[in-house]
Amino acid sequence: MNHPDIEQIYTEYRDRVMGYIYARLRSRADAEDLCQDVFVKLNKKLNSFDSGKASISTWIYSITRNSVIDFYRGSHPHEEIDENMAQDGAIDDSLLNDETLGELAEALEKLPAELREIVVRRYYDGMPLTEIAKTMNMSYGMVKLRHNSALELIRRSMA
Amino acid sequence: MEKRLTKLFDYQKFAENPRLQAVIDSVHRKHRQLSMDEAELVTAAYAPYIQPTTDEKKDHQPE
Repeated sequence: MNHPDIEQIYTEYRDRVMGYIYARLRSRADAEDLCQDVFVKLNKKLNSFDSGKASISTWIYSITRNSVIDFYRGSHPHEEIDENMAQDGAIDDSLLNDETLGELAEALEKLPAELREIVVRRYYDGMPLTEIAKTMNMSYGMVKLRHNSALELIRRSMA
Repeated sequence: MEKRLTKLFDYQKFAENPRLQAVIDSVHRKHRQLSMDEAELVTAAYAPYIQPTTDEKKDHQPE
């Protein structure tokens, strides 16, 4: 089995790994350190990477994501981990690929603008529905109803 | 579905799919534009009414 070269991986993914980590840590020094740790881990695990189980991108993302979670649990035990990251359970690798992201984009494009906004703010920006309601000048009840409608439309579109 | 969306959007922050990013950016642009429009409205509401000076009134008198 051909394994990718760590230097190639570093060249291609370094910026993405760093961007993902920095967005969460908000400290350039910590992000640089953790980024280096991620590539050390990748180098150690390279021989065990199985391209039949996951794409290289998903594999690197998984290690990066888990490294950020470990960082918070280890060095900042009192800080809350981003809700979007804190969910336990293994990442389903078959779900995380460019094709699925494209399907999601298509599903969002079909939504009415208001529903699309609720979804992006809730799941990309991580805003709670109560905050979205204030931002969009709507009652919480209405936002919740529209949020549920949006999920149903996306579910049907991506089925 | 919620967990699925959470995972996909988190992965998007790493993978940066251009089509999905365009959708996300359009929502963020709209929010920024609304914030700017609201700021303009607030500014306009507080702009003082300036009385024309005596010379300006004379300038507008028919000859």
